[in-house]
Amino acid sequence: MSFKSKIKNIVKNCTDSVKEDKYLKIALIILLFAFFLGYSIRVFDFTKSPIMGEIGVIYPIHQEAFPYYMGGVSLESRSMDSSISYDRISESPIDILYVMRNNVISAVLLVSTGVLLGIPTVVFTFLVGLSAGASIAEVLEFAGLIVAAKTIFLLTTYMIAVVLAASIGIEMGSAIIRYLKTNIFEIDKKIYDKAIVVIIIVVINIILQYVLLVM
Amino acid sequence: MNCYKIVTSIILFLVIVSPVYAQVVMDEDMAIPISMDDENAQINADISFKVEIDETNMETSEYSINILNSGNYSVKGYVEIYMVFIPKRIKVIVDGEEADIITQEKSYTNSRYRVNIDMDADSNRTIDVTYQILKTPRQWNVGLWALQYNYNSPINLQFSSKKEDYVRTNFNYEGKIDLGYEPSKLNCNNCIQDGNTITVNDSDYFYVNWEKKRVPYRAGVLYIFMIIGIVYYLVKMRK
Repeated sequence: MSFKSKIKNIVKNCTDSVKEDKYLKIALIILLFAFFLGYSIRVFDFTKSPIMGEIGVIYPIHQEAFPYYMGGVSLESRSMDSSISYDRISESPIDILYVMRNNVISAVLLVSTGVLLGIPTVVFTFLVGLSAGASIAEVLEFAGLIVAAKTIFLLTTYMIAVVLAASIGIEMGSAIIRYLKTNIFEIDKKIYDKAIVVIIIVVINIILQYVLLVM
Repeated sequence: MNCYKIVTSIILFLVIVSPVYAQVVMDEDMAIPISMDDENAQINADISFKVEIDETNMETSEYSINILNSGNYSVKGYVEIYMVFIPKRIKVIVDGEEADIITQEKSYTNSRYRVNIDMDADSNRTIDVTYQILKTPRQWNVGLWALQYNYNSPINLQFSSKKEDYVRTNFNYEGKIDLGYEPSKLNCNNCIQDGNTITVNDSDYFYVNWEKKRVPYRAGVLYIFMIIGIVYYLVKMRK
């Protein structure tokens, strides 16, 4: 079997397992609905500030993009034919600790709160979607093309990690509920694969966010 | 018996008087010597200004400050110009001569410039400040449909004399702010709005805030795509 077909097989297996994984679907549905709600309330100025802005863990975008989009808001006023140029704000307020904390705590929070019957996991997933939707609208509106593209890319990779971590949390919660009912503790072995994938994605996200936002 | 009464009276007198005396002494120590005497240094600043903010929010301002020291002491101090962005240009002329501007702070959120001013007793000086700067909206609570702006005087005067560390300065503003577009939700404090013009008359302080309307095209396009996707999905699932 060639390398190409091996990769194809892995991708196909992953796609099939994702399609069959109901917990992943639940997490994705919660996240997307919350994202749409967050985007809707921001795009109509229902809220003019970031939702949950103070809680960095469940707020993946605003802090990172703020200095960039702030430059965008300032330059919003500038005439198109004007030759005046202001340097974009270059100092990033975030460091490696901020990046690590946000990614690691998000994942750990979503997985570990699954033991509380999965309810906090569902709530936190909803809040991540809500705040991300509300933030991305202003980033899109005010940031430059490169910054907006960078932010959307990082948000997507962050969301993948959130969905996977949330699906583990929800699965753990449902396993505990089943255990309470039937006295049998059963967990699908796929959960271990998912946990490994979450760890890998979180590490990749930290590296990507460090390279694209901090450096 | 009488002796007993006298001793008691003395003790009571001491008990009552000593804390009262202590309070009086403490109040005297703590009292801030606020000069109410007209003979002390007194600064009056008549500030006239003309501000134009065009459609692209480029602000061009001209301030003329007439400072009068009507006291019997010479004073030392400075004129400080505070801005929330980096100005494109700034020029300060003191009594017809261009002054050296000391940059205190220069960033995209705060810029402060200072010119030192010394004044003899009973003298006056004229300071002209001109600058051009991009008027930036408020960076928090950023609306996608309207950006909020505000304006107040960037001029601050601070003086001290050999007698007093802080010499009170009386401000008197008079001038106009012309906006190159129709402001919405304009809120004037110590000023009068007439269309796009805001007038300040004989006031020691003024503050204006307003909104400039806009349409969120970029965020709106993505939202329309989302709605189309949802409608398409609903129609598809209905069949």
